[in-house]
Amino acid sequence: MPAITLKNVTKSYRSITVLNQLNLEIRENVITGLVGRNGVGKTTLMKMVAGFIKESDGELRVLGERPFNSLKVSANMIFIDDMMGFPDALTLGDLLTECDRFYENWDQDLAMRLLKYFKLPLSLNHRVLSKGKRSTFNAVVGIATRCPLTMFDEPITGMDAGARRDFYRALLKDYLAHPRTILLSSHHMEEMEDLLEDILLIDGKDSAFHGSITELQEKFISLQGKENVLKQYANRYAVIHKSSAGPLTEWIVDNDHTNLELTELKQAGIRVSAVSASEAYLAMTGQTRGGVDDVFDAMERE
Amino acid sequence: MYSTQWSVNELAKRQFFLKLNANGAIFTMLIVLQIIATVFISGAVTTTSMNDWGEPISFNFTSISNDAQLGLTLFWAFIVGFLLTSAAQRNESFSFVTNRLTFQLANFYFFCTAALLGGVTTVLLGSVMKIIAMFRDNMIIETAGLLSSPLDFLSRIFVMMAYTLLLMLIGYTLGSLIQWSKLFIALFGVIWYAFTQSTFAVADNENSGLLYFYYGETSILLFTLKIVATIAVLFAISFFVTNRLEVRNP
Repeated sequence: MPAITLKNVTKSYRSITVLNQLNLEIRENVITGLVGRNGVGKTTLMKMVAGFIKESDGELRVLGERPFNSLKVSANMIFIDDMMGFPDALTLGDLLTECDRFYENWDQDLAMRLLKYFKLPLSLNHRVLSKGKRSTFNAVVGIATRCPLTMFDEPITGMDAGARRDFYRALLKDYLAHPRTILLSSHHMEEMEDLLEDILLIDGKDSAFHGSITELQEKFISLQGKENVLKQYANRYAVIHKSSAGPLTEWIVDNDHTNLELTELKQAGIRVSAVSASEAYLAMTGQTRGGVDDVFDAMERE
Repeated sequence: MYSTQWSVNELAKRQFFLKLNANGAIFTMLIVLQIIATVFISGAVTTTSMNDWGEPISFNFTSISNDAQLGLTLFWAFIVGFLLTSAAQRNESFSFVTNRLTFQLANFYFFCTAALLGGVTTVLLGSVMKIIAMFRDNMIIETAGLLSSPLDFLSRIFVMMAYTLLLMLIGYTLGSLIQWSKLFIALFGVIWYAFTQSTFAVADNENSGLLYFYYGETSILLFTLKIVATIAVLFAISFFVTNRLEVRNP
């Protein structure tokens, strides 16, 4: 049974449609990375799954139930983001006690140890924490609740490099020991690609790609060579992204070629290699280097 | 795997305890307000008047009331009701396990607790006032107390609790509606204006109007019925709104 099922789900705020006719299934006990550019509806999707906001149309099922106002979904799900509200009057230690009262799988020992490791004293108040520390605390709560459905929306906001690395590591270790469905959204694909199994790419109000991370990588190949050589041999491919560093030019193209073509390319001195998941992601969402340069170049020309 | 199942009742209880832990400041506020009312305002309410009917007979009347504490407690109740509809309160509850029904029930339990405390303390403050008056004016006051007429005393506590709860639910319902749509602010402004015009301006006709419906009731049973019915209606209206509110939504 998939953990999350969406059938033609639409979400609009007044006149703005954020997600349009979305169809997808999130597999159970898999870490899925939710990626996409700013404002494509990643957070909206997660909040809908969490039952915080109501779908405008379509059928949404989480753990077999409609999440809006479902106690079952709420009890088996946690949604971590930097907007998470905690009462001002309670200290971090009090908050852990509250988590223990509300979440069945809560591991108090793990939470205490992690907070100690991240140098978060239990006597502090959530409100006085710095942005990075607050994110760290929320992330620790997300890991230690061990909810069957755990969602992190930009969990690393404000964290320093060390804390980010530790968070990914802690999440992976705990996931291996206690498998669960994890949805993780972040813009730092390169940092989390080792952790992810599936990728869900949201683009233009719809799912642009959903599959395993190797499938995403296999969609493209990277061709490196002199620009004129590339132009001569590789023009028949759909070029997703061009960049040049030094004498060599790199084209990321659709992975759609025969073996014969491949040998031909290699004979022409073009280096053919696989792309990383984050390169594939950047290529797919058009976050190519020099993209915004075009805006300024165009202004200068006029 | 998805084994965790809560009953609505159990979760509402846990959410209620979370609310009690998180909102201790609300009770501190009540105590501070009551101290202010006792120390600063009660002097103003205590009025002395003298009647002189010639040589042999003259009277000094001193009337003391705890209307100030009463008013401030009711004001506090309204604010508390309003406070609990804030987005922050909702976000805090929804950081833990809840749905909108358990959220509403937990709020209601909280109001009942606060009304109990507010009602009891306010009526007891009446006794404090008597002690103050006794020391200041050196006189003995005989009014209905716990020992002389326990039923009267208890009914005062009960009525005060009922009013406090009512005010909280009014605040809560108004707050919920405003959370739903800001247009209600304008609407309530108009209603308030009409209400004050019709209720307070007509001094010659005391036995009518909305407020008289409650305070004019002499039977405690009917009074209870009226209050319970009103609270039920307010609860239903506020739940109608709460049940569709979206959380953590900018």
